[in-house]
Amino acid sequence: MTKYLKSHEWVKLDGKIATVGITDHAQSELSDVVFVDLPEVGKSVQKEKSFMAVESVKAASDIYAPMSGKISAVNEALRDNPEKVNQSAETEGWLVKIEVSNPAEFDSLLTESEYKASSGH
Amino acid sequence: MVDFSGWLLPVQYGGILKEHETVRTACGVFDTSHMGELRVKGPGAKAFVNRVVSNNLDKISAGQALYSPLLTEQGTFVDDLIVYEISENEIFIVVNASNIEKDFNWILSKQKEFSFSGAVANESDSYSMLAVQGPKAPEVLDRIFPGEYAKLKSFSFSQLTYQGAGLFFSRTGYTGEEGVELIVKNEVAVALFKTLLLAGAAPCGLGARDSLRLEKGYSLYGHEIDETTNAFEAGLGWTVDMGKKDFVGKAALEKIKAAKPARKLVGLTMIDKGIPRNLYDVVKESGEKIGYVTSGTHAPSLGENIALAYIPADYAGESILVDIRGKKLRAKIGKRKFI
Repeated sequence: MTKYLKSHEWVKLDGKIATVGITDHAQSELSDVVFVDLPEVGKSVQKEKSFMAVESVKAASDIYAPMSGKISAVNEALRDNPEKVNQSAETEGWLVKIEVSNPAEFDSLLTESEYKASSGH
Repeated sequence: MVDFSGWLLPVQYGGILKEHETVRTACGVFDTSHMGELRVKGPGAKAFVNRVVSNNLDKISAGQALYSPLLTEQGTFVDDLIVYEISENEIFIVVNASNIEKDFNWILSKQKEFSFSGAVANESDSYSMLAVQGPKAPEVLDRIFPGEYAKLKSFSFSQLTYQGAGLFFSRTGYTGEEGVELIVKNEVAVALFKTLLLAGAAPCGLGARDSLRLEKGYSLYGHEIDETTNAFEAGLGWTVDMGKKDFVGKAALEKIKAAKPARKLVGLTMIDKGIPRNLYDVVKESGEKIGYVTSGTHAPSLGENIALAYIPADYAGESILVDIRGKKLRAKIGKRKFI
């Protein structure tokens, strides 16, 4: 199942690997993504702390980690094709994979209906 | 929709990149009604305004417009504006939305000092403005105002009517493309906007407006120019006529010119991947701040990330470092006009 942060990140957990991206709602608010500032593999991330940015023409948007751990992979395709984030934010436009340090953090994240309610749609 | 100086304005209707491209290849229409309009009317209006602004109105005659700074006594910017000569005794001025009251009061304060007996009026609440810009703008405009665009040279204007209301049809703009700014009474603005859409103009918002003007190196008040920057360091010496007998700020500018400005405004094109933005630091390798970015964005027509920045006037290198979100990234220094 997919879970969410109020700040419009989604996360899918598969064993110890969490795949993270931004929601379709977030990409449509951002409009054209022109640059994705991918973090380095191995970087430590902390739940609900900013760890990278997605940039549109108008502004840089901080992305918050839904779970703590270490970056195990980044979506290299976004370096040359940042528009994938707009085209398929919730599948091909994934941002990073995290090797999580505390899988139990997944339980306290928002469900899809809770996220939808919090973002007003 | 976002708040811009107390106005509710659209950032984009259908994507900034698409709107930017539409203006560069076809025709877009911007609602710029938040801009302000002032009228100076009475004997000697032109001569009076010529003492207040730094550019020289002797360069224009009736039916023409001139871009000029409005300077403080220190030679820094109260605003940048466009002056329209209706006649020697009637001048119309378009000012930035964020500075309407400030500019109006500034000009009023000079009225007594320069013995102008006429009236200075703030007509901003009566007027709306629509900017129609792009290589196809002339044909779009011909569908509504046949033959009018062809009559005008750049920075000239006609006074027309639309549905009985007065309209300035001005061959000016902030995108560097063909087109006009239509300054029209509020009552007919919505009808005109709808007609322009039907005639082939696509609605465009603030986001595209900013990327379009930045590619051309045009200044934005509050970024490249403000009350802390003088006309020379801002690269706007060409809008100041030091040969004019007298204008507000002349004495200060003479001193600045003699001493040579300490910094200069340059164009930056990123070499490393990153987008420079307003108020990001320009730094040395050591991290010491030596300047700052005034405006920056991804430039859709270039496919590059660009910026304008203040750096030390004596900086001699071909490239420089910008602190982008904690990383020192390299940028090439070049002209402020990117395309």
